Amino acid sequence: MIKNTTLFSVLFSLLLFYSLSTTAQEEEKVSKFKENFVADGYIKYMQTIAVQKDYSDEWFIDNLFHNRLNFKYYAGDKWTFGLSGRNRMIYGASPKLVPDYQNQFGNQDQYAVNMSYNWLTGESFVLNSEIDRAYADYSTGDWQFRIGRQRINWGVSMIWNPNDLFNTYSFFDFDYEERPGADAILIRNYIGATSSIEVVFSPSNQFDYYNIAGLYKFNVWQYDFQVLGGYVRENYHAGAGWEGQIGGAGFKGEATYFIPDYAGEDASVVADISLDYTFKNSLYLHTETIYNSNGATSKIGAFDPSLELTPKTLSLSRFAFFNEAQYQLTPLTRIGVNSIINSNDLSYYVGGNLTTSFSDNFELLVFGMFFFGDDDSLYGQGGSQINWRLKYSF
Amino acid sequence: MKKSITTILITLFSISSLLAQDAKEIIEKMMDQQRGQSSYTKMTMKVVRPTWTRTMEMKSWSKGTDKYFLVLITSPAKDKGSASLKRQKEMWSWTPSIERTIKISPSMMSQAWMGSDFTNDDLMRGSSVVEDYSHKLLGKETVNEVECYKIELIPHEDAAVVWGKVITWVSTDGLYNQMKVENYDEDMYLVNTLNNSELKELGGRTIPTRMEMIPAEEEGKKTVMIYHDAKFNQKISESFFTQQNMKKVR
Repeated sequence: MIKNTTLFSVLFSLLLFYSLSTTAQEEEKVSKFKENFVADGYIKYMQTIAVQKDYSDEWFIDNLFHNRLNFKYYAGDKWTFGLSGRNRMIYGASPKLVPDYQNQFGNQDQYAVNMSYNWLTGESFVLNSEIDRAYADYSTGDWQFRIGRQRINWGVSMIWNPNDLFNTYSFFDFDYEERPGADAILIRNYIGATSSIEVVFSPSNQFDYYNIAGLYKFNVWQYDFQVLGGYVRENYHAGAGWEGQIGGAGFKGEATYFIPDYAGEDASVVADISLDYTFKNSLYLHTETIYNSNGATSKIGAFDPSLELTPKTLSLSRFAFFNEAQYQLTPLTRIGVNSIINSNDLSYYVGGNLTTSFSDNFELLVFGMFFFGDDDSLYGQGGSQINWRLKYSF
Repeated sequence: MKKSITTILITLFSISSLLAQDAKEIIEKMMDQQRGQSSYTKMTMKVVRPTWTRTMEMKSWSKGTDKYFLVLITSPAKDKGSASLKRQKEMWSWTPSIERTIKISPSMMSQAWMGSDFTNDDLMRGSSVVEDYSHKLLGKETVNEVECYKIELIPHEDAAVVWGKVITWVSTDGLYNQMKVENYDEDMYLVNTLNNSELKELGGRTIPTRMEMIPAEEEGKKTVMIYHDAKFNQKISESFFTQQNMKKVR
C-alpha cells in the first residue's frame, strides 16, 4: 500500500509541477521542459442500464466517472518516459450486487506488480486509481529498449488477436480504449523501414513464472507478415500473422499454436481470419472468424466473467463469427451494428453503436448490447444493456 | 498539293505530340512546385458546415513527389499523435494510445480524411498524378486572376485511382502553382472542386497558402486547409519515412 501511495504522490506532484511551472524563474529551462513534457487525457461519464433476460421491470444502473491522464517526457533524443493511468469511480448496481466487486474493479492480477489502489469503497461505490503505462524507453539508431509497464501490441486483426500473447483484451471491454499493458522488457531492432525483430521478457503475477517470446515482422508482396515463438504462461507458443489486401479489401489473419508444458491438456491452435471492405459511400463491412481447436462443440454453460482472458480463451466455442457494418451518417456521426455468433450453442450477441461529436473534443457514444440464447448457453444469461457515454478530451 | 497536306499533317501530329508532352511536363513541374525533392508543411484544416466547424492541426513531410509521405496530427487532443505513413504504394496508420499499426487497404483510400471533404487519396497521394494518368492540354484559362494551363487527366485503365477524370489548372507564370482542380467520378459527374488562393511566400517559394475543397451541389459545405509553415528541398533521409519514425515523430 505504501508503494502505491508513493507512486500517486509522484504522479500528483508531476501534475502540480506542470501547472506551477509557468511561474518559475528559470523561464528558458522551463520552456524547454514544457516543450518536452506532454500531458493529456480525458474525462468520461458513462451510464450503463442493464436489464435481465426476462425483461423484468428491475433496472440495474451503474454510473462510471472516469479520468485518464497521460504523461510523457522526452529527455533528449534517446530517452522517453511514459506514465499513464486512470481514476475511476463507479456508483450503482454492480458494486452493490456483484460479489467481490470492490476487488475485481481495479484488479491487476495479470500484471507482475500491483499499481492499482482503491481510495474508497462503500456498499454501492468504488473509487479506484490504477496505472497502466509506466516505462522508460531508450532508442538509439535502429535499436529500441523499453522497460516497465507498456502495451505489447502483437495482434493484427480487429476483434480477436491470438498473436497478442502479453496483453489480451476483450471486445466487450469497449470502454477501455487504451487496452491493458504488460510489465515487460522489450528489445526491438528495426532491421528495415517496414521490418523489425523484437524480444519481450515479462514476469507473471507476483513473479510466479516468467514469459519470453520473440516476434519477427517483415513486408513482402505488399503484405505485412509476422512470425512469433516463445514460452508464455507455461506454454510453448508458435504463431504467425499477416495483413494485406485482396482486391480493395483489407485481408488479415493470425494463428497461434500452444503446447502446454504441463500434463492434462492437449496442444491446441487458435486462428483468426478477417476481411473488411469500405465502399465509396463510406459503408464499412467487416467479417471475422475465430477458430479454437480446443473450443467446445456443445453447450458448456454460461460465460464466466472471472475467467482469465488469454489468446487460448478468446473463444470458448470451436468457432465464433463476428460481423459488422459501420456507416458515416454525417462527418460528425457514425452508426453501426455488430454481432457475434458462437458455433457450439448458437447463442449470439447483437450490438448497435452511435458516436457523435459535439465539438472538437467533446463526443457522445451510445452502445447497446443484447445477448440471446438458451439458459445454459454462453450468452444466454447476458440480458441487455444500454451504455451512453460523454467524453471530453484535453 | 499532296506535299503540303503531308506537311500540314506532320506539323499537326508534331504539335499534338508536343502538347501532350507539354501537359505531362507541366504536371511534373506542378508536383515539383508543390513538394520539391522534399517538403515539410504545418497546416490547419477546418471542416465547415452550415451549423458547425471542426478544426484540426497537422504536420507533414514528403520526399520525392509522391514516393514517401508522413503526416502527424497535432490537434485536437483526442487525435493527437496519430500518424499515417506512405512508402511507394503502401500505407500504414499509427494509433499511439494502443501502440497499434494498421495497414490501410486500397478501399479505404476513397474515404474522407478525418471527416473532411478531402479523401485519404487526396492527402496521401495514394495515386500518382504523373504516372497513373494520361495528360492533355485543353488550353488556357484565368483562375483567381492568375492565368493557367487547363489540363485534363484521364486515369490509366489499370491504375488504382479514385477518380474517373480530373481537370486541373496550373499557373502559366513559370511557378507552376496548382490553382484549381475538378474531380469527376467514373460517370463523369463533378464530385468536388479544389480552389487554391492567397499566394504567399513560404519556405522560399510563392505558393497558394489556402486550399478550399468544395463538394459539388452541397451548399455551405467545404474543407479549408491553411498552410502556416513550409520548407522545401531540405535534406531528409529515406529512413525518416519508416514505421519506426511514424511511431516517434512529433
